[in-house]
Amino acid sequence: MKENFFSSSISNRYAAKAAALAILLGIALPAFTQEINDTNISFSPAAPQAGELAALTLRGTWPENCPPNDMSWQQREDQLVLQLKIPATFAPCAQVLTPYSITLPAVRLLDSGPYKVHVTTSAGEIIATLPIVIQNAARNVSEFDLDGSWFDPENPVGGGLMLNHVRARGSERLFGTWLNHVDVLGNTSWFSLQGGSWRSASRYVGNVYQASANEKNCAAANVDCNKLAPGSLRELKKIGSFTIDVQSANRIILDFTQDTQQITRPVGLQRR
Amino acid sequence: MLLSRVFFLRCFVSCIALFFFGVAQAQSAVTANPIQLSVVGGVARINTPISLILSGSRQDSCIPTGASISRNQNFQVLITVRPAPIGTACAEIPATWQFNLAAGGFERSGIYQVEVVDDGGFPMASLELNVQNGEQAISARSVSGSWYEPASSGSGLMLSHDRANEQDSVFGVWHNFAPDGSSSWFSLRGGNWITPTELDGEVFETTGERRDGVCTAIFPPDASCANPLRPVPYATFQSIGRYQISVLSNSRIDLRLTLNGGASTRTIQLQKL
Repeated sequence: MKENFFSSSISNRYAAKAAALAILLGIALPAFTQEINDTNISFSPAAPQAGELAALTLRGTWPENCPPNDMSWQQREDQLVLQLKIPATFAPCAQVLTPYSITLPAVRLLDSGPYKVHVTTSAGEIIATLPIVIQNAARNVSEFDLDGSWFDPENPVGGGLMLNHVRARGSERLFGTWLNHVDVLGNTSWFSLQGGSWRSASRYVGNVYQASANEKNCAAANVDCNKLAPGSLRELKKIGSFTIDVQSANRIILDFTQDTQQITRPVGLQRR
Repeated sequence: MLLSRVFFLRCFVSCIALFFFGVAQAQSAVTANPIQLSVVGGVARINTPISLILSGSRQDSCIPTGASISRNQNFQVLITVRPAPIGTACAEIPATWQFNLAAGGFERSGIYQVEVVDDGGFPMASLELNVQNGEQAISARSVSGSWYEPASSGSGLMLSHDRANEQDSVFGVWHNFAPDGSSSWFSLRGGNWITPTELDGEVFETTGERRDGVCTAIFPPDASCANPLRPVPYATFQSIGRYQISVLSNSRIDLRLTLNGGASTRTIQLQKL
């Protein structure tokens, strides 16, 4: 979920600038010479809500022993920029990997939903881009983007779950199709998963519907009897409910409960 | 004395401009229209020097003064745009801007992520650059999502498009109804982009394990047999035909499905849900 941008090009340019300044001023400046790939963000409280004041802590490893000791932040729509500030020092900076941690004591984001946080150097160049999610007091917001196809590792081609997950600030929609085989002959069948809500940041509960169409007259030649031809829905019948428990960005547990019988069997699914 | 007269005159001119044009001070970039990236000549090809055009517009006259480009080995390109200097007087007149950027040659084909930032590091746009290799096309845009045809609601196509760097693969499921009215589905796999907007691949059909003798002979029935939602292991998995997708826009695609042996569906015009 974490992306690192431009580390090598930043390194070179930043190192060149730093070296030139060091020669001119006769002082040591920190050089950005190694890739920084363990940058992470945490909040206190851990899951801040829209409008709530929270402390934001950025942690990472700096390639030298002159790490940043302060940062500023700006917001534009769903993007935040944390700009690191490196202390000027007259002492030489040794090339020693040095952990750093900087806290902004009072950050407030007014809209719930996913945000992208860009961590930049003081020269304005991006070190890392990290996703964060701001919760909503009135309704839960998903922690991860579940859009895509999911399969059971024990049954990799025999069905699975397709999810269409649209996430934006202030709105969210999840729509899915469970692909299975139902009758005694093993023919395929699909079920529509919709009309649910997030009960927590990692649990979604919704309804399961079974679809059917009118029978086609295939006694005579009929292009609609091609097994791949589209057909129109006649009935969408609610047959139960489903729960998705999100364990990580790439693993979920899907569970069904039928309306007629309380039969459930959780299925662990992985992202394809 | 002369200096103070010149200063007064400049102030007077500024005040007149402020009165008539609503002059504002240049601040951080305010983009009126989305920033766009295009390739000179239309197509970026591997190992060929590429010139890019970055363009945009503002609601005032304080257009950026320049842009620079850099890139790394991870399919990432950074374009830094220099805004008008702070303190520049900006007339409230919409203005467009455009910069030509020499990006050099790209040794690897694929989908490059282009981040456009201002000189403070603030993102202005996230764009992409597709570098074609001449052998297999790179898709022009993502087709991920749910697609349906209004005339046959209930049938539909769900696509998952893994599209980044050198990855450009599509997995899909076409769900429709069997002649007896029950629901059925087919998986769409192994697609190749013939052109940036034409995808061609195979249609597969699976069957699950037969449960006659398991679900009908037992009384009372096996509880799991009564649950249609229970996952069933597959018994067969075979290619039964081909599919072609034509991407018409971000929200419209055409789908054509052909069974082995030649029977084709009509062209199914799908919209994004």
